[in-house]
Amino acid sequence: MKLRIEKEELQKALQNIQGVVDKKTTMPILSHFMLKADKAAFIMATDLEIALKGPITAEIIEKGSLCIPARKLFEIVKEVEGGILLESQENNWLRISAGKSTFKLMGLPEEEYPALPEIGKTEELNIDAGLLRNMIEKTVYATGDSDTRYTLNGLLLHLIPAKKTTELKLVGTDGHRLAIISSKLASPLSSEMKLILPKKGAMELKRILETSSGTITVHLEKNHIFFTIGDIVLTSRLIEGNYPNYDQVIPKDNEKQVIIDKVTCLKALRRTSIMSREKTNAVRFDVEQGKITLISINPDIGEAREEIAAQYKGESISIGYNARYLMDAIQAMDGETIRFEIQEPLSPTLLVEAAGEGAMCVIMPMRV
Amino acid sequence: MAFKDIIGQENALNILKGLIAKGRVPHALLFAGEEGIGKKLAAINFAKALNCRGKVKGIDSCGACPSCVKINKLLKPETLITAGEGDDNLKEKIYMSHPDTALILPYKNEIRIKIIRTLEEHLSYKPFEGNYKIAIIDNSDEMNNETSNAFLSTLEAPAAKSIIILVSSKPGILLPTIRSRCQQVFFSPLPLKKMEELLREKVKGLDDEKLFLLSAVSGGRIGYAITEGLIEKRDSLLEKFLLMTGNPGKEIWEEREEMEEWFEWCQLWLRDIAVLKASGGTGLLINRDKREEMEGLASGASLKNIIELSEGLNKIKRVLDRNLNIAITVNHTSMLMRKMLGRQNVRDN
Amino acid sequence: MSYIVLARKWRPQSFDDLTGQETVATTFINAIKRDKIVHAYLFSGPRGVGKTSTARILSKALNCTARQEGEPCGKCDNCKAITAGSYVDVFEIDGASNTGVDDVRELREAVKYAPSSGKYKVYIIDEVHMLSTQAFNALLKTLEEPPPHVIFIFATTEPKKIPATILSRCQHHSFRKIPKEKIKGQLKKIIEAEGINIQDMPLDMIARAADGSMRDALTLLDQASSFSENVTEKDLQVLLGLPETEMIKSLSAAILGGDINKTLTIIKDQADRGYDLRTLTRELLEHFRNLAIIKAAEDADSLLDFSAEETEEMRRECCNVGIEPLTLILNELLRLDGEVRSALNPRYILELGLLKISFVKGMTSINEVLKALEKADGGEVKEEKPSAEKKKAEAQPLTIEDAGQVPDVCAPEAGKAEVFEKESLWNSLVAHFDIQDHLLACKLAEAKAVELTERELVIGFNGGMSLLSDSITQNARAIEDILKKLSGRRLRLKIIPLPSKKTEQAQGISKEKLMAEPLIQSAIKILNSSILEVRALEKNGNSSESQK
Repeated sequence: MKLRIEKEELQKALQNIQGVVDKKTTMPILSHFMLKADKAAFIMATDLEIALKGPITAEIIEKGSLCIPARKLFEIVKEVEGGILLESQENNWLRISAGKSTFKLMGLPEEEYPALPEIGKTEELNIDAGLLRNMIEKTVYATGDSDTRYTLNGLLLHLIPAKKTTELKLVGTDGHRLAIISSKLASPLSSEMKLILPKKGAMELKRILETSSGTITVHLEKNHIFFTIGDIVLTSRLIEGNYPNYDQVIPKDNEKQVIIDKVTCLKALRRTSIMSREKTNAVRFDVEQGKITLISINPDIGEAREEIAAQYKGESISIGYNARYLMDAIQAMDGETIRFEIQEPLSPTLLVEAAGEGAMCVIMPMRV
Repeated sequence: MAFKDIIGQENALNILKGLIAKGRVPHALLFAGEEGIGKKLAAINFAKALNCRGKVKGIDSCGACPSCVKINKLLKPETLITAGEGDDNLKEKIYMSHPDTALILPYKNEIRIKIIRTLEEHLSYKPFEGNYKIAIIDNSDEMNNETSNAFLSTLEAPAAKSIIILVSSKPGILLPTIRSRCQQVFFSPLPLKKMEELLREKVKGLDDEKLFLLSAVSGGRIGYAITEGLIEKRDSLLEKFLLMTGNPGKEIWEEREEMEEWFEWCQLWLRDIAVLKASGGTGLLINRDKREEMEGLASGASLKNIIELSEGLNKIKRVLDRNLNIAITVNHTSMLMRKMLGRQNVRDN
Repeated sequence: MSYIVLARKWRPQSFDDLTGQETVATTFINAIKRDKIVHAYLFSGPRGVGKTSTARILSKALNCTARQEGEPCGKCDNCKAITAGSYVDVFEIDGASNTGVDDVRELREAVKYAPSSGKYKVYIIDEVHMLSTQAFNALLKTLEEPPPHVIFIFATTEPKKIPATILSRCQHHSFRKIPKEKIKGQLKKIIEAEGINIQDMPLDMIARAADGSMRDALTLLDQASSFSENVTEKDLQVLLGLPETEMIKSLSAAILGGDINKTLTIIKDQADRGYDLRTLTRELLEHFRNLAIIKAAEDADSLLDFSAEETEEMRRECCNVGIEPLTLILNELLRLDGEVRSALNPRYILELGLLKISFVKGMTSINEVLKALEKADGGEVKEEKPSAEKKKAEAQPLTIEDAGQVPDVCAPEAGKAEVFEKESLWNSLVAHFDIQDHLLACKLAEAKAVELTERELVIGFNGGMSLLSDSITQNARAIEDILKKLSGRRLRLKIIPLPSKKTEQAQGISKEKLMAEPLIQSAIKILNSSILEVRALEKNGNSSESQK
């Protein structure tokens, strides 16, 4: 393998993959990335959870491939100028020449690198980058984090085919709260699918989508999901197992409906939760006609109370929540007002954007 | 390197091949049997067969496809840089040369909970490039109590397409709750005839008596049988055995390890002497090339004494790890031997 | 699709499905019907008997929306989700990874949240005994004031390690080992449903090897059916890594018969063929344990789970050995089993151990031990054979050839057999009991027919046998009945002790004097025992063979 690449091009590409290479320590070759030169050149890196593959503009003098230590090459490229010649040698050595300096790095052969599946004949969907990013933002906060019920450590992608469209629902839950959002996609799908995208994959996807626009393509394979964003492909492994039945959890006929101004509520929550006990952040909502009193009591420290206006015409009810969960949910919602749909002090509460049919969040109340 | 290259172990390999052929590979297996007879080797080849991408038909792995090439590296784990170096929290070694196949070895005879958590994470995904996600835990009996209990629910019902292989030479030590969740596959020591065949090939210049000696002494363990200098070791330790009946100096053993080994080997000679006395003939002797010395010792001691000596030496061996004073140990041992064997073949220093 | 092992596939899904835990099942069905729920349960018992299954069934019953007669319906969304393991309100945690106080504190916080869809949040904590003391204390607080929507189910294989304070706040259910027959019954159901071909004997072997655990049995069945299309006994032996039963029988016969050469040859053969000597030792130990139980217990059959033929065979095997030597052998084998397990080379320890056992066999009293040692000190173990042969001579009436005569003699319709010869009467008597009551026959065989008169048959026992004579006396009526039939006249049975030289010698010997004897000292060392007391033999004939 022999190619010539410009410093800026190589530096940018290596920068992009640093996040992917560093993490895992269980498989040492993962600290390397793969450089492959065929008709075009591309680099690939994986940490066994996600993988990034992107093209790299280069003059290909000789085809080939090699696994190269990512960190070291990155450091080298940073310090040199101009065009860089990369040349593989015997026993997997890599010779790097730039200007008057030469370096030699020990590499590893391609066969030793984890073999990612190719996007072959798989189901394909198209979705707008901005839409997908938005959907992830509104749900990923509610997923589990290192939960021993590992299926909760990711986002559920529930794809339900209709005649010519597909409904995509994203769900995230940790057992105490559940966030869900739904959209219609123009692409058709052959059959219903449920995939669990690991949290890390979702976060990386969100990061990349932040600087992208237009339509992206999603390919669904039995063990992986591929996101083609521009000329970059982000692959994520899927989590094995059955996701909980989220529909069961969503309360359908909560009678008591309270409408509150989003910003006001958020600020009040921030203030009152100062007094709540660290772990639970418990806050009590005393809901009455026209107003809600937020109360938090910590016998060791003190207490806080705040009254906010609310549109409500029903029986008074007292209900306890984890303030943190409420704030997460409220922040993820668009619009100016939020609707709380409540039933009992110990039955799940539903938070909805009062304006549209956007994101929803189910929150389990607490005993206070 | 594949199943067909493993010597002996017909029963075990047939069982494993049958599981693959019938598509009934259980999610948890326990490979049990003596040390050094090929359990780990079988586990690695089993993993290869399960994840092989190069075979056209048949059960055994092809050995050449990228999957087999990667898993093969587990045969020589020391050539892999492992997790553990530079990572203080993970001293137990996890070797992964294939994204779906992990080999776990204990650290300082212990396997702690952290490893199980890492393993569970590894298993919670769908396979990366193989058919199954496989974890092989060698010397699994070294899981401490905490780790064993934490492992139970994963071992009972891991995520789909996971296979956990516990390897152990002391399955009795594993918790019954662990064994209960695994299908046990028994590995046996190599039969004598096969061992002799193997040694004839691998080790040159052995006469029949020495060949027999190595085969018998190895107890069917290939790794042990081809250890360098095994016969020389026998010779040297036997010499020291004979010296013990005289007036040995306290320098008789060069190092601790040698002392421990000496006590192990004593049982062999005592057994030979006892057998000579009891059966009245040399047919059952193992140290055939040292017939004379054995007969000499046998003539002067009673069967009762030999058995008592065996137990006495065993008692001493059991307390060896309590930092005994070497001189006292030597004296005590020597005294015991003189008492039981009489002062035959006295070889004074 | 991944293969799902039988143990998972056939997990009981309702209380009724549980095998061998009828009490527990009934209790829970009734409790659910009457809505008598408590907030903390403790399930204890050995592995694989139904603790986790019951916990899951209970979770379903608690949250089921269509309960039927105390059982979960299995079809509603909640039931299906719990069965699939994806129900958010049922948490399965293991006590080992959550041992710390912090983990319990987290648990106590999590417990405050309401259930998401069902009525209850259920926390199943497995191997709960692994919790640290502080963790238990933290848990105690929650157990004292449990939130009404929370149920704890603790499971453990070691209930003794649970503090009393926790125990007192739980409803404790004890799960027992499942009887072999019940396991076999369930296995039969499964093999039919799964279409597995397996003969009765190997199925029995599986049920026995399972040792009370349903999961163990299913794991074995799984393995057996993967191994062979038609599972046979031989298949099971290969799978279980067991030495052939025939070999164990030959070995045990060789040991009991004092045949050193045969013993060593069998071991050599097994080692040469590559059989695992540690397993062999364990199997040998198991075999002798069975023999000892058969020898010592009245209703050995119920204790042992063997068929009548098998028990008979074992009785015959140990006929010539007293219970004391058998116990000594058993002790030795127990010790040997442990040593062999930790030895680098099990073979030598095993061989030396078996050589030692050859001293023990055939002895019933310290005197015999001394005699044996005296002879053996010359080095020739072959000396042992005379006493073994002597025993065989005394036991003569037990040979199978005699049994051929019996039907004629024993059949009630038979005419009076005119047997007046003392010996033949005696032989016939013993042969008769050989069929009817083998144990009694063995005891009778120890005696000698001394005299036959018009009115009585006098039999005598050597010195140390009065234990047997007591037993014979108890059966005197039955014996006299048979004597009447055999001889045609009413005979009384009289038992006398036979004087022996050893008795005279033993008189007047004090413990101290005995202890001073070097031979006694050797005996004590070899047998790893001590003298409890010395009793003159004639009084109760029992030699004071002391154990450790």
